[in-house]
Amino acid sequence: MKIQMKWELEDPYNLIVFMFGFIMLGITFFSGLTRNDVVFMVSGPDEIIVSESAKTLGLTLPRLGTEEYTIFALTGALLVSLMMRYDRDTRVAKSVYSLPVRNYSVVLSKALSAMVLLFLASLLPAFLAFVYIHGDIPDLIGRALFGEGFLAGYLIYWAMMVLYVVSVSALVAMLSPNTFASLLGSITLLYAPLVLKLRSLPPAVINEAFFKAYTTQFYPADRVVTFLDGSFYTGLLLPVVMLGVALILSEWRDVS
Amino acid sequence: MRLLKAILLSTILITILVFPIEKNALTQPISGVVLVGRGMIVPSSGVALLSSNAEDGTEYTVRVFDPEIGEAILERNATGSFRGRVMLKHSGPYYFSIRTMTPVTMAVRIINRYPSVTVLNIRYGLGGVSALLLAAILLMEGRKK
Repeated sequence: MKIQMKWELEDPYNLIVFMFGFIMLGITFFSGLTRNDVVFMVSGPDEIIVSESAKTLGLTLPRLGTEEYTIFALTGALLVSLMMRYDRDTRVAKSVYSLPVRNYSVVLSKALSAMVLLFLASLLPAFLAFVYIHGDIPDLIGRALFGEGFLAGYLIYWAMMVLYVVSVSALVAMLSPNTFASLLGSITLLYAPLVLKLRSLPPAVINEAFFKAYTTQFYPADRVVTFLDGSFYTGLLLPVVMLGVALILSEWRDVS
Repeated sequence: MRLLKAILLSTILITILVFPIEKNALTQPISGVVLVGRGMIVPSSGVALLSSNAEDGTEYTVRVFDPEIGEAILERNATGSFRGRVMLKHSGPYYFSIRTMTPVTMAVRIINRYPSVTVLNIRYGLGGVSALLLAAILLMEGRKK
């Protein structure tokens, strides 16, 4: 499984998609931060203003709006379709899956490496864009990330988004007949909640849970717990179930 | 190794692309109105022009607080109308406030926006280091064969 993951992480096709996602997301995050005119209303002594401004700064950390989600979902769907469907289309998979490993383990390692790539392609440009704009206030950034507990929530936020996108695409890839269908299907499914304005599915539900947790709660631990509580079913449980179904399907379905 | 190269190359490309995007965004001034207190997150450094008008004889205090250094960068007692300017030396949050008994409105306008030296150093540093690392990796790989 480790060797399989190494193959996938070094695959040039996957890395081209990775670079596409990395650069496009970085640019979008950056231009989102430059037109930022975030304001906060608070009154009180200076300490309260300092902590409120650290919190507001934490809330400006790049997250997935409509534009960013488009690129993010496209990158995820492309990565997973390329990894899981393309080798089956080109008959390369026959030699891979005939190795003495179970099918589900190959598919799981592909899903895990897609998650690693997508996670890196979103988290690194997010921090890069943030530092390229607000790099001259290290004290406040440190206060926002550690004192206000944004780092933990932010990492969980991206992990959830990545998990959701990869599992939806993996399930579609296992069900569909070829790469094209898999790509089209997963983009449609990932995009549907955005177009239909469904507030009970990701990305809206994860975004809202994050925002709510960090604006209503005061202590970092409470914030993380509230965030997990608000997004548990659709942000964690649903993707894990979908990934499980995809793994079971991979055992049932013949490789070709 | 290819993954590392991809990350380095993307970092270099983002660093190059950031400048034209920012140049476009910096031409627009930011403006806002302060009633009692208002914090603003400014995405670049610049010059803030403050102006307020009140009836003659109204006394109030205008204050601009910088949360990064934890000090007020402007604190001025004013009577009647007030015009002032203050340098915003770094990007990030600033807190503008008016202390008064009777309501006074103040307009804030941020012009002459530019990225601060620290931010530029970070960009050049990160971009340059990634470029050098990428070059070093490519050179080593070339020599191995």
